[in-house]
Parts: sequence; structure tokens; C-alpha cells
Amino acid sequence: MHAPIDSHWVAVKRILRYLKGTISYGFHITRGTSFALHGFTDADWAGSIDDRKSTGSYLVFFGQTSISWKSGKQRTVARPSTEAEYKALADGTAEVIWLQYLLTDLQVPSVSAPTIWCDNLGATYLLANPIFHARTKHVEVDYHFVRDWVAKKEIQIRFIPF
Amino acid sequence: MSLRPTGHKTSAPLELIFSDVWGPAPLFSSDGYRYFVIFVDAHTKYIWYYPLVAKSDVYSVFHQFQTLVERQFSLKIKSVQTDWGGEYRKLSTFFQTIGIHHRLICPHTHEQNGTVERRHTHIVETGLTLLGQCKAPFRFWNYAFDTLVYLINRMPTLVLDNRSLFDCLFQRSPDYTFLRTFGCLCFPFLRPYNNHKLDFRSSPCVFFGYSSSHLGYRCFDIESHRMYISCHVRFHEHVFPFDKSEQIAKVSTQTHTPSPITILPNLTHSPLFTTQNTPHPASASASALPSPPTQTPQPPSFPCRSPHASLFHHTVAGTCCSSVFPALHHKVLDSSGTSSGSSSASFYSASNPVSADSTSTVSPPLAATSSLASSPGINLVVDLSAYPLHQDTSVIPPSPASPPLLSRHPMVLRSRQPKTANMVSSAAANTAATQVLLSPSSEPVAFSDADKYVAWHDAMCDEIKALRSNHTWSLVPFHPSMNVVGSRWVYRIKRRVDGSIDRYKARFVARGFTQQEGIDYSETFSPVIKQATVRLVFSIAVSRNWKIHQLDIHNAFLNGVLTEEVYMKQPPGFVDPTFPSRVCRLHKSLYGLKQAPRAWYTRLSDFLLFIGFIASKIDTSLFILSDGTNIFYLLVYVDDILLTGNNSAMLHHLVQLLSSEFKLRDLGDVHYFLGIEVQSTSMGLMLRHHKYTLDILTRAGMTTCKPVDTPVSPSKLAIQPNHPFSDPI
Repeated sequence: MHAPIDSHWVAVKRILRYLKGTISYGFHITRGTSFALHGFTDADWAGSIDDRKSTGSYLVFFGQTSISWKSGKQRTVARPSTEAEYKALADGTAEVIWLQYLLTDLQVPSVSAPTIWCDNLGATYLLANPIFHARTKHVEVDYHFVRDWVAKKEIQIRFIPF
Repeated sequence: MSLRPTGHKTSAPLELIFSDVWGPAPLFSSDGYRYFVIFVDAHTKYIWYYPLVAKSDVYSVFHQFQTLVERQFSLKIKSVQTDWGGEYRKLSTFFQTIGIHHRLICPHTHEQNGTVERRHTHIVETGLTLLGQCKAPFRFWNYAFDTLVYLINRMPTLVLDNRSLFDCLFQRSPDYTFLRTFGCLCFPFLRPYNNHKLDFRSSPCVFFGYSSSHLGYRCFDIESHRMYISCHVRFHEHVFPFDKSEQIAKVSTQTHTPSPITILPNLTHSPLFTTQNTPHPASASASALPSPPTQTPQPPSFPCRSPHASLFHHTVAGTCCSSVFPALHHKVLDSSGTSSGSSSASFYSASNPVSADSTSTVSPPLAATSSLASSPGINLVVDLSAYPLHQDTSVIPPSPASPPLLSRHPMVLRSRQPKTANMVSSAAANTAATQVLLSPSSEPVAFSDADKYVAWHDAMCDEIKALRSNHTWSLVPFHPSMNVVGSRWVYRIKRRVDGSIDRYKARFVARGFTQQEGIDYSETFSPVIKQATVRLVFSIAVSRNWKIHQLDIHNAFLNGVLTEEVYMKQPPGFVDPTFPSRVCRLHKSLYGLKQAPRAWYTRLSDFLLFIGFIASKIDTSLFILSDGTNIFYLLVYVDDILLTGNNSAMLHHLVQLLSSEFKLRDLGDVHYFLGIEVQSTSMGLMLRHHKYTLDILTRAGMTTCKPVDTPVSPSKLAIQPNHPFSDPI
């Protein structure tokens, strides 16, 4: 913070007030019967009014307990909203794959391939259909690794209507 | 396939020299060595022994050796036989220039160098016997091995028609009246060292062999850690100051005048020595003398094959000594039991009357694991003897009832006595000042401030003692090429919940910011557990109703072993008066060093892997031990450890196994981990940050603010042009 301005000060105080408001909150790990991984991803297209970058997020459940989550501004500007969702989906998938590896190391048998739920039909089509598409041409290559996983059927992508 | 006999006979000394390097020893010797090299003359089998700091020192040591023998015997070394180890490659070119024939053994055929390899085994195994008998810590191996070579050279051997190697080489018989029992109590004449006329003329020392350059004995003062060379020494050859089982035993007060060892006439005149395989019970001192090289008695029940492993066998299973050398033990007990004990106990017991048999307290946790042998799969009966980093300091069971770590090392700090005495006298002079001096209520920054208080001074003494018993450093002469890291004291008052003072804690830290990358540290990264892994493991454990244990490692960073050469200034206030200009060469890591967390992680993970854990490739701070039916997860966050698994009995034994290696506290079920409070509920576990959040709010003065439900105002996301924030202070 080399050039703090008044609104920063207000923002910091707001965070502290938020802490006060949530001081009694906790994170509940419930006893579950299912050992399956579920991921949920979503994006807020062009959510930042400063630079029009989108916000992507994911949330991963292990049984009934959420164990990993993230919400953050994406690195690049997405042109269509599908692209923002697609990037969020890719980030979520990376996390789920990491957790899947971890479960293998922990010797917890996986019942079925992890499922990721996404509320954008276009993004799910993009994954299932690895065709060259003019509108996804500029999407960074590393996001496309999700396609490999879907093709190998090691991960399922499902559409969830909102 | 058997080896072809070489058919080569030597006719004179120095015609052929065998040489090989032994090491690295898993433990630095007390004087800082890790290797040794021996040179064996093929003609007389005489052995020259040189301890080494590094293997590369062989080059300079050979020059020393060559100059010595060629001058002494007016003969030239003609050939040298070694393996093609890196340390000898540099020598090979040197041999060519001066015409020495360098005989090499075939690769991976160490049996061709059998003479010298056999000597290594002889020196190490019998040297351990010397240490075992006097119960000296293994860091004194250099003195034991050195003494042993001295004895081997003077031992009559069948091969040479009952002449000794010394006899063959020097053409005169050695002086056996000079020999004494290794590790025994002795009192050197110390008047020349006295500072004033009221000093005692002697202090109790341990006899650690014969000086190579003087006609005198090496006497090690346990209290001051100082080595004296003296020829005026009185010996108590049946008292071993390092032997704690003797502490209760009374010591005969009558002084033994130095007398020749009684069995020596037999030794020189009869072939008694060549016919017996075990040390004769009647000759306690014979145990200090190894049998002739021709038929060294192999300790019958030694299960370890390599010299390294056997070194640790003693350390871990302390009872091993007694089972292997029952004769010695009985002898020791007999002599102490029957001696007409007048009141003066040994000096050692006087200073430390408790913890009589620490060796027997060591074995139960390890022995207890054998009951698990019947459980399928994971074999928790791990033979720790093969674990290279195991040390004598770490075998103490960490129960609060056990004697403190320090009591195993009968050390009193040099600076402690006079200073405390001064303090008391000044305090007596001024009673009002006493209160202030004894109980400071603030935490000082500088050593000079802290040293005025008895409480801080004692805290510092404790810390120094702990560091010494941990062999954290050894003193080495300063060299301008060294980057010497600064050091300082950090003082903390530990308070109880009600605010009263619990204890004063002084921590000695290195000023790691003066370290230079590539010189005294290379890698600093130490992995930490990821939060998602913690939650996942918690979730699995809760779903399967497993207990989650939390372990707290005591002074974790001090356990780390340094691989780099790090030099540090001597601790302020505790500078060695004998060697004030020396610097500390660190062997173990200290708080403040850049590589301390990494060194600790490496040490811990090495041990976990050794006892059968597998490190997860996905999260390197997660370790898994499994055999198909039983499974355990271990999470590491620096010195906080979580352990969970499906077999609570074995979990308990795992904790014991860990505590045999590291000083730790089993905190039971996890309650507070990384600032997170863990409460168990009917549904599972509740993780909260209540205390941490409250601390933040208190620090910010926001405890009475109006709470809100969202962290950011949704309507004002944009960065608007605004005024620079004015400094509230």
C-alpha cells in the first residue's frame, strides 16, 4: 500500500466490522457417509467496473463438507460470458483433480468420477465438443486441459440450471 | 569366489602401506571430526591413526604421515594400496611425481584391501566396547578409537610370535606400566592451571587415552569440558564417571596410587591372551585391552553388521551393553558393591543424585512395541538402531517425570558458579535491590540488561546447557574466509492465564540475516500443510470416528541437522575463557538461521520415512502409513503435528516411537491448531477462529464497532478518485 486513500481506510474498517459480525461463525465438518467429490463453479462476467475483468469462483464438497473454495478476479478479460464461465470451470476442475489425487494418496477409494456443476450450458458444450471455434480461439491453452480430463471420463461436467 | 593370494611378501617396514578412510560417522566427535584414516604397514602391521574433519584432508594427512615415518625410520615408502576413492585420486598424481607405486584394488572389491578393512572393523567394534564399558557418550569416539589403536599397536599377537607391532617396528618392547583403564575417573595435577592459591589442586576428570605428542595422559574435565594433558595423574580405575548406574554405588575413598595393571605380567609372559575369547571376569582392566588382531572376539550377539549401525545399537537399546558384556557389568557392580564404602559418594552422584538407571528407562517404550508384533501389517517394531540420526540425547522418554535432559550430561557451566555467587553476595548487601534483581517484570532487549537478574541469568544457563547437551556446535579456530553469523539472546516472560509469571525463557538465536546464500545456506523452503488437506483429513477422520491427536515438538528447530558449514559467534556472556577467539561451528540448526525450518522438516521427514510412512506426492507435508487394514495420516505444520488413524492402540505406539526420537508432548485430542479452535459437536467438528478474531479486533480497537454482514459494500466497488489518506498517528 504505497498510496493509501481514504476509501481504503473505510474498506479496512468494513472488513473489521465484518469480522465482528461473523465472530461466532464457524466451519462445520459433518459426519458424512458419502466420500464423493462435487464441485460447483460460477462466474460473474465483467464484474469489475474498473477493468471489466470477470470474477470466477469454485466450491468443492467432500461428501457434505465443503473443503476447498476460491473466488477471485480472473487474470484476463473474457469476451463472451461463456469464456468467463469456462475459465472458472477450468480452475475448479484443477482443484478437483488435485483433491482427487490427494484422496488416492490418502487411500480413500473413489466411488465414481467427481462431478462438477456449472450453470452455463455453453461452457459445458465447449468442453464436450473439442472443435475449433473462432470464439474460443484466444482462450489460453492451459484452460483447455479440462477437455482432456472430460475425454478420459475421469471427471464429469454437468449443467445445473439456476 | 575366493581371492587369489597375492603372494607378495614384504621384507622391511614401509615397503607397502595399506590405507583407507572410515566414515562419515553419524555423529561429530566431541572435537569436531567425522572421519578417520588409518595407515597400516604391511610388514609389521603397525597402525597409524588420523582423525579427519573431511575426506579431502587425507591429502595433507598423508604428507604428515610420510614425513613422520620416513624421518623416523630412515626408510622410504615404496607402495601404497588404497581403493579408488575420491580422496585418493588427488594423491595418485602426487605418488607419481615422487615415485611411490599406487596399488589400487579392483572396483567394488574391498576384500582386496582386506588388511585395512579388517582393522577398521577391529577399531570400531572394540572402540565401542571401550565406550560401552565406561558408558561415555558416543561423541567421544575419536578418543576411544585413538586409544584403541595405541593399544592394538602394543598388543602381543600370535602372528608375530607373541611380539607386539610396536616391538616389531621399534625393536623394543612397549611400556605396559603406562596403561590405564579407558574412561575411568582420574585426578590430574592442576596447580599450574590454577588462577589463585585457593583453587583445588585437582578436579575429577575422565581418562581419555594417551597423548601422542606428550608422555602423558589425556584427562577430560566433565565440568569445564576441558582436556588436560598431564603425567601426574591419580587413577580410580574402577570408577567410571559417565556410568550412571554407579552413582548410587559408593566409591572407595582410599586413593589408588598408580600401579601397574595386574594382568600385564600374564599378558607378556604367557599365551593366556591368545587363548581366551571373552574378557576374563577377574580382570576389569583387561576389557580396556583389545584382544590381538589375529582373533578378535566378535561380540556374539551383535545384530548389526555395519560399524555405523552398531554404533547406534548401543544408543537406542541401552540395555544392549549389559547383554553383550555381562561380565563387565558384574565386575563393575562387584567392585563398587564390595568396596568398603566410606561416605563420600562419587562426585558425579553428588551433583546429580537422581536418575540412577537411565538405560533401563530407555528401553520400555521400544520394548513395548513388540506386543504389537502380532497385529497384522504395519510392523511398529522398527529397529531404530539402523536409523542414522539417532542420538543419545534424544532417547529420553518425554514424560514429565523423567529427569531433565541436562542431567544426562554432568555439565556445569564455567560462567555459572562465580556469577551466581557474585549475585548472591551483592544481593545480600542490598535487600531492597534483591527483589528487583530476582524478579524482573519486563523483557530486556540487551544481554547487559538481562544479565543483572538472577532469573534471566538462570534462564540463559538453562538454554546454554540444553544447547550443549544437544551438541549444537563445536568450537573451531577462526579463519578469515568464514562468514561468521552473529548471535543474540531473546528474552520472553511466559505468563499464566491469570497474568502471573510462569517462567523466564531465554532463547539463543542466530542472526540469520547475515547469512549469505551459497555460503552458509542454500535452500530455505520448507513445505507447510495446505488448508484444504487439513479439512479433507478432518472430514475423513470425523466420518470414520477416528481420534485426531495433536503433538507438540519441543524446540523443534534445534533438531535439524545442518548440511552447510555455518559459523557463529560465541554466545554473549558464555564465551569460552580458554578459547575466546574461537567461533562456533554449528552442527544443529538454531532459531534464526535461514535454513532452520527446512533442516527440521528434513530431519522429521527422514525419520517418518524411516519408520515406514510415505510422503504424499500431492501435499508433501502429509505422511501416510498403511498396510491395507491399518492406516494413519500425519500432518506437519512446522512443529505442530496432527496424527490420526483407524487403530488407536497403534496410534499410541506411533506417538511413543516419535517421542523416542524427538522430545515431544502429546496434547491429546486436537483443540487448538494453527490458531483454529476445534470443538467436537454431536454432528462432527466445529472449526472456529474466535480467539484470533477477537485479538485482531482488540488490536485494532474495534471491539465495539457496528457489525456488518458483508466484507465489502456491494455498491462502491470502483476505485474513485479520492484524497490521500492522512496518517492517523
